[in-house]
Amino acid sequence: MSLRDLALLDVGHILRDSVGGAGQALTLISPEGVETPLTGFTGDISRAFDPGTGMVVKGRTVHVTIPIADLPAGDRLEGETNDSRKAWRVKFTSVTTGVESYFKVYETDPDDSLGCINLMLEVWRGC
Amino acid sequence: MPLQSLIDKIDSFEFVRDQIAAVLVTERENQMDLAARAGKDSFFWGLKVYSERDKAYEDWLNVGNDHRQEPIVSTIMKAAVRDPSVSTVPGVKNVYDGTWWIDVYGRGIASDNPAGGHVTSDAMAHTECHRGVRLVRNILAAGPNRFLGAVILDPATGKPVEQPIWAHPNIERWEFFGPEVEGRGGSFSVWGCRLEFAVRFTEFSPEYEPVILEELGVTVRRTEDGVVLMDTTVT
Repeated sequence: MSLRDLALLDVGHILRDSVGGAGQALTLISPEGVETPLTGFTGDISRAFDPGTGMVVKGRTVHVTIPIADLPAGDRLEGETNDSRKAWRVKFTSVTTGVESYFKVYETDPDDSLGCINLMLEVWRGC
Repeated sequence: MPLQSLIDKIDSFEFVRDQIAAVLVTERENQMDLAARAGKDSFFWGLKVYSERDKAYEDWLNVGNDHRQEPIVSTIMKAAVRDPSVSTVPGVKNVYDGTWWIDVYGRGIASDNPAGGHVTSDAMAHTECHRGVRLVRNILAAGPNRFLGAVILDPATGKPVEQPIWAHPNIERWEFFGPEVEGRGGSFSVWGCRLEFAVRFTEFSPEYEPVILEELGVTVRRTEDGVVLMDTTVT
């Protein structure tokens, strides 16, 4: 097995490990509403935006990272900018508050070399 | 040479600063009241107004996804430029053209559209910002607010009896802003607009305290035969 194959396996193992590792249960929801339970990394930390005026508005940067191999077959997962179409969404429970929240995927960062994809999320009103 | 009197007044620019915020807040309440009476959702006439602040706004950080948020309005004085053509001796009476930045921020949240598709957060942020700009522009450019609510009227005629020390408030320019490329991501979308609000105002400064050297009193009178005399007293 090459180092590249080994790295691929390791990344998948690390992301999926919710028992001894930092993986967390999450759910990927397709535009058609099909829910796929997955395990991966989640991140939700504060972030400052400068809308260009020099004044700062605070928000959060939220993301999940999952193995590409775990993605459901079918339509490509990407941020949806067309408002006439439904969007990919993710839901997961906060590790600190225990509250489940829904998010929209607005941007994706696939990494084919390590076999994982980073989904940048924004808050979603409703379910 | 130290001044003999305490500087214990509010300058015109400080009054203008406070009046801009006061007009926005007062009219916001009025508009929301009018909307409610008209059977409309008064939320859409709401603004969150801040004056002279520069710390980060965390109003939208922890609020729930389902919670509606009014546009944020932030007013800051940017600059004042002296007009030498109408100012007198420098340091005594100066007329300035002041510029206030009135920044409006709109927040957008993605959501489902039951009619089909979904609401995109960036488009919503633009719309919300535009709505805030609409309200601010109409409030500050309205006739009754021409002197920022500070005109002095003759009770008999209803006309101004004094030239106010602040005049010609006008929105001279507005420009929309979006976050830089790396900042476009985030838990919600933000779109901003800066309105440049210009106000001409006059500032007065302490003058030399006069020292009375002597007092000269003069009384002019005409005698019966028409001679003009001046009676003087010197103290």
